[in-house]
Amino acid sequence: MRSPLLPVLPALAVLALLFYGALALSAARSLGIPPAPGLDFPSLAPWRLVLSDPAVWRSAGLSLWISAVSTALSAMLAFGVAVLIRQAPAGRPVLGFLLRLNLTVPHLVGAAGMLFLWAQSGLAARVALAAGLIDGPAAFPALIWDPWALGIVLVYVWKEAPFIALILLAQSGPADAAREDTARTLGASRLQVIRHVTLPSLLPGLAAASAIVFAFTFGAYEVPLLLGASDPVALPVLAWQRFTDPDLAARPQAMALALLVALLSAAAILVHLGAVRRLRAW
Amino acid sequence: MTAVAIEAVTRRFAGAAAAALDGVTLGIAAGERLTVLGPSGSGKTTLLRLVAGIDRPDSGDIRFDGASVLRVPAERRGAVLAFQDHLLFPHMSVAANAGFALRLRGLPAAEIAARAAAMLARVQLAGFGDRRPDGLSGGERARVALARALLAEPRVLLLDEPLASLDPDLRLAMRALVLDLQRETGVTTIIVTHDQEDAVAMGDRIALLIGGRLRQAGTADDLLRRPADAGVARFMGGLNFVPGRSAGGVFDGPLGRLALPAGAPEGPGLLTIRPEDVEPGDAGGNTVGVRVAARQFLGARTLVEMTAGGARITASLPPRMAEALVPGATSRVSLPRAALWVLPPDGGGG
Amino acid sequence: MRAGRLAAWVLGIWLVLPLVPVVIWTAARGWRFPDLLPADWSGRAMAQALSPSSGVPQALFTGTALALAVTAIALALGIPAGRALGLARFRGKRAVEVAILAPLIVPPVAYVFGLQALFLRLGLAPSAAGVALAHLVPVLPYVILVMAAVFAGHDTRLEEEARSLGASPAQVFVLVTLPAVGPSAAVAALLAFLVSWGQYLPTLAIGGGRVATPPLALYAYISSGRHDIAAAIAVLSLLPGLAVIWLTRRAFPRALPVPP
Repeated sequence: MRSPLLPVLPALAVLALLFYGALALSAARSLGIPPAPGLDFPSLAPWRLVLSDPAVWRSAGLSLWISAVSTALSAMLAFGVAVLIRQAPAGRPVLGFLLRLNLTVPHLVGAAGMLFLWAQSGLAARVALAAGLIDGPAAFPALIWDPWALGIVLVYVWKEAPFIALILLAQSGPADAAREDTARTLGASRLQVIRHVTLPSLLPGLAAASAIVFAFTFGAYEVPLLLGASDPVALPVLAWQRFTDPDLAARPQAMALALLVALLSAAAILVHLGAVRRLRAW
Repeated sequence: MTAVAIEAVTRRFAGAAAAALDGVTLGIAAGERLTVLGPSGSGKTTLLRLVAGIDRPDSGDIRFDGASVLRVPAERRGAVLAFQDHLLFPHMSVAANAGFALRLRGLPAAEIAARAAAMLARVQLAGFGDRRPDGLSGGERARVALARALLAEPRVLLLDEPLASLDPDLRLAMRALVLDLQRETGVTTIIVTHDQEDAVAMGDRIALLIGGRLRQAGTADDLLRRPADAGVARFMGGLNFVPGRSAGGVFDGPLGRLALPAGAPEGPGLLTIRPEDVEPGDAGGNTVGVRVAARQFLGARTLVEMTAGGARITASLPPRMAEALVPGATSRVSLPRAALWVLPPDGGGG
Repeated sequence: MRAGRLAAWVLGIWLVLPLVPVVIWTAARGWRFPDLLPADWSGRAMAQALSPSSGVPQALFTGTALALAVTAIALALGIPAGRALGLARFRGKRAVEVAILAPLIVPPVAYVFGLQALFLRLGLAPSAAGVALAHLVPVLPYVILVMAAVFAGHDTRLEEEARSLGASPAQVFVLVTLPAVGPSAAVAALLAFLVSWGQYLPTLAIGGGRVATPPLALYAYISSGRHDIAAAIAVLSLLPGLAVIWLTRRAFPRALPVPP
């Protein structure tokens, strides 16, 4: 009796090698297997070094900040966009096109655009200067390479809010519109409809998508690389710095940092799965 | 108890060839039960949505107790719409669903709980309060939806195909429940259905919508025995249409000369009679000689197709009475005068 | 709903806004602060970007070839896997789904170091083939999960009906399954292409700087201050996305998941 799993095996094998194998190798290397210069074999030294390094904590904190703010803002914005598009069918084709266009833009391109737009010598600054709002480039607020990572957050919100919005819209069906109509005839004002019907129906999808966005924004590399300040750097950037450090002793630490990112993503996956389970009720 | 007046209401959807509703005028008395009957796509649901206020007509007016409600948003109209699929809110318990309208008004929780429990008991769902919608059967969901609508104390109750998703044995019970509750509360009710039997059973009056136009509004008997045109008659299950001419109370056609009831229109027309009104034998008057062409046993009735003078007549008889009418046999049937009706010639609606 | 229209306009502008300076830079001949618009317009930036000396055409070619190869492999492995997942019920199916979901959600930085170490041993790093395999990690699960969803929504009774009407398995596949599932699979393939097209870190880590793709070229030119050429690369990077949107304009299945 052929197992129904059979066609899945080749793909699973590839992933087992390339993904899980890579993770396993990272784990091994982070424990000093095979031994890196200056380490006993095996050893928790890289982990101890990493976890006691204030630079690591600063980077982790920054990455957590970026993820939390980006995810929260994207989720709220996406909710608003989803409600807007559901309730106002006019202009929907244009908005739908723009949303899908946004999806296809690579993150680095978006980051480049944000750079050109919001840098202190960027387009927004020039508009502000022409409008007399500021008198020089330095007077324009630092949104790029700033300690609060605002530029990075802006790029993520710009890309991920549409992502979440499209997921929410894809889940909405005619039954949702009918439920909203039912609530209205039962006497619910527009705000009450959103609070009692729309939000609960979108919440599981929001949670599921937000978990993905959180993991993504925590571990993404290229956007903080381009738009981030030089100290502290986001955790993935720090990990890459350690990985490419000419001092090979730094490499196991890089592996440990990579695994930290993996662990946080695993937590996000669990949240995502839990939210997806709630989705089935609708 | 609110009277509803629908006046020359038209609604056209973008991209559709025909209007969903075309100049529909209909009056519903306070406390009346009106069923809106028609095939799918006839605009029935659109009409409900317009009365509920979740859609606006392109032209025309809708009045509650004489005052136009077109400017009144749905949440303030008091016209509660219960959809076909009994859409309950999945994240709320049965009791929370039922008491939803009361919660919106800010009533104290204890009162909401008490009234919800009472209404749930009234729809035979006592004790269901804490359960979740996803564990309920179709019939139970329908009753929760009904309870939810009634607890809102609507001025007008709008039911969209309330029996459509129910099994046959549940439909009778649900029908009875709707009728009981409507009589108790006296709320003006509009029920949309595509099922002729439901329409007849549940409505004080029936409004027949075909293709967005109101074809006839009246009692079940009006629609069955005095249909406005052949289209109405066919939709109501009429099978007998004999062309000819009506003059001076007599219909002249392939079946010979038949006496018509008083008030029948003059001129060329289609004679119609309900299959169940065709009587075997001579006793009913207006007798016609027929040859039996075919016979179809349907369990409770037998359909007998007969030919006479080139015309076809179909009778619906209790099986016992049809035993002698075998295909090929000749016989005589009566077309009682009171059961006859003359329609405009075909082409006047269909 | 006035507020709604205003919000729609704001949203539309906000979505387009960052791309505006990119497009302007592409056509600019010098665009110094504080000019609102370039003093002079020219196609020079794009011309330079497209000349072989910039390395950009090579990057474009490499990026395209990589994405095509990755998509092809992902389809070959992923469609049967997705089909099995979507149609079959077996014990441990949930676990398999989670195992396939993980590489999608876990960011590249988590596995790329280990992958590089592994590929060094296997002689796959630095190399384009290694980069292609690295791209498979996010792309393959995406294709599998999308195809699983497509097949799950597919009524297999259509095939059963066809067979009872006398069609051979091959005929069933070509005449029934393919038309029913094909369009969604095509959309998934296009989106898979885009996932590979936009990858940065895996290309950098496994390619060792020798495999140049548009994202890498873009970063290089921005960090060396050549905004005009960088903008030209950015515009060129948008082209596959625009092609995908145009190709899928009629068939964008509502339930199709998209990469973040």
